[in-house]
Amino acid sequence: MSTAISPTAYNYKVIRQFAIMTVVWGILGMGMGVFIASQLVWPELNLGLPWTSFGRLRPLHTNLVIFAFGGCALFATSYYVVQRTCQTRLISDSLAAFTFWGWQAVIVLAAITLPLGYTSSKEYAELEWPVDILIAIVWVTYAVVFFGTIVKRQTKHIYVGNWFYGGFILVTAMLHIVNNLEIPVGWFKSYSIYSGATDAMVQWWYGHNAVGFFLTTGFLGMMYYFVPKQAERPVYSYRLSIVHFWALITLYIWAGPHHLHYTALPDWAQSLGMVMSLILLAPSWGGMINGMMTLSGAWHKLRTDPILRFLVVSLAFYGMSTFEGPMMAIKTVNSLSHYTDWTIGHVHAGALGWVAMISIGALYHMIPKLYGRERMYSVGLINAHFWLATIGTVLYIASMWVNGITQGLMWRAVNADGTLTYSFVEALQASHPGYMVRLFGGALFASGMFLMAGNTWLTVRAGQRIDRMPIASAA
Amino acid sequence: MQLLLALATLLVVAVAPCLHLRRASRHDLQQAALLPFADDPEAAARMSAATGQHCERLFDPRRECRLRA
Repeated sequence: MSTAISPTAYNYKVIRQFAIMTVVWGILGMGMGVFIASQLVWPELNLGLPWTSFGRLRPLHTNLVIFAFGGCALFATSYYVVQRTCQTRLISDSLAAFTFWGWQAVIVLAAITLPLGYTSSKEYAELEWPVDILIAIVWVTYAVVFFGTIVKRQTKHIYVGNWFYGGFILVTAMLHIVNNLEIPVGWFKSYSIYSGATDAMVQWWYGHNAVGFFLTTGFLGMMYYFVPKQAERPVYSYRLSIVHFWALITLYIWAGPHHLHYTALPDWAQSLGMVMSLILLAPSWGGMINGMMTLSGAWHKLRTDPILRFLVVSLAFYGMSTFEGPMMAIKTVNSLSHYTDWTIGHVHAGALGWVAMISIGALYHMIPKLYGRERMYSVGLINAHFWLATIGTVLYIASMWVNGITQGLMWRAVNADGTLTYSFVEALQASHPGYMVRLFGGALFASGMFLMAGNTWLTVRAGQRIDRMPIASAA
Repeated sequence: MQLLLALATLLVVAVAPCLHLRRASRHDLQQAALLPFADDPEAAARMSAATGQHCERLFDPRRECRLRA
């Protein structure tokens, strides 16, 4: 399908590619999550092989869902939003195509190297140095395409969604480069230039801001375009959205030390991380309320529009997880929650409830437009997907809350003589029912992605027939 | 040192939005909020009917294509 209908038409080709791959990687990444959740229920599923062991597949799951599924969703929507709100085509089609193929190459390399055991051992930054360099090149190209398009915009104002996308692109580049400064000792092995507590601090400065900027700021850019557009109402308070942007990017960067409570990190840094995490609640909820209130006068649309339901429920989960996060950053709460499944539940409240659901809503809004269709092939399938995703998320996070609090309480219980009341294995046995519920919830969520793939396939096929008309898909 | 860092952060939170918004009138901000609709005349018409707000500058990429093709 040609996208070069005229020089003024938007470049939809690269957006289509990223959108389709979002669905593909979503299925693979979430499928991998379901498999490793099964391994925690039935350890025999490790198959006695190093390549299929939990320790190697878990980073593959996180890389696939964060960087493959989430990354492709961010590329697709940012290219869509920046063109439409700047009313201009991307600055370079070939550079945009390079970002697509380069990003897919990164993911394929991750899928090969991680099961083979090549890892820098840094969480969410496991890929070894040659892949890190490729990521940096692709990311700088992405920045050139995105900001170049902003520079040649036909509008006076830069829409707030683009500020969020821009913040996410710049800070992710900084995080990736600083955390992956390493000394190669071979083609597939390197060592970080940092050591000890400094290494831990840099890693969690990166790790937390991977959440803060990759999984929050970028997706807020998505929210500020797709919620108003789907609700057909302008954002509730544009002024608040600007305050939200500056407050969020200024505060988020300080919160990383809360991952290192009660460690060798200096106590002042831990306290700073805790306080900044608590303050972060204000901009997070400001943005959430701004998004929710955008539906003022349009709440009735939730009865008939499952896409809007995806978007609004994602905001509800965003509000919930950004309340839970600061609470878990309080040292006394963290002493119970840390290292337990509560953290896993918290992460998935954000990852499934917020990131995945807003991406899915945005894709359902965007895919028909990309293929010249009025709407997705089946609204009923979107509705079924919505309920699978919502019930799956609730089951997942509720089971992990129960497991986490159980584990925290069992680990800290002591007898009168000072010995531990429970062994680790007893806590593990108590967790087993929760692992089964988590597996079921995760499988529900992943099964919804198959409905999405089918619905997308049918929409694309119908759209290709329409596409034979000369300019139908330009808008 | 920590106190200085904390104060600098709060200063940025307070000053940056003011600088960002200092030249924007209420009308400018209203038009900025309507940008998602400005290239979609059909959605803009439905939004205007529901809210009474109007995009002052509409851009129709389909029409633009036809004119330039």
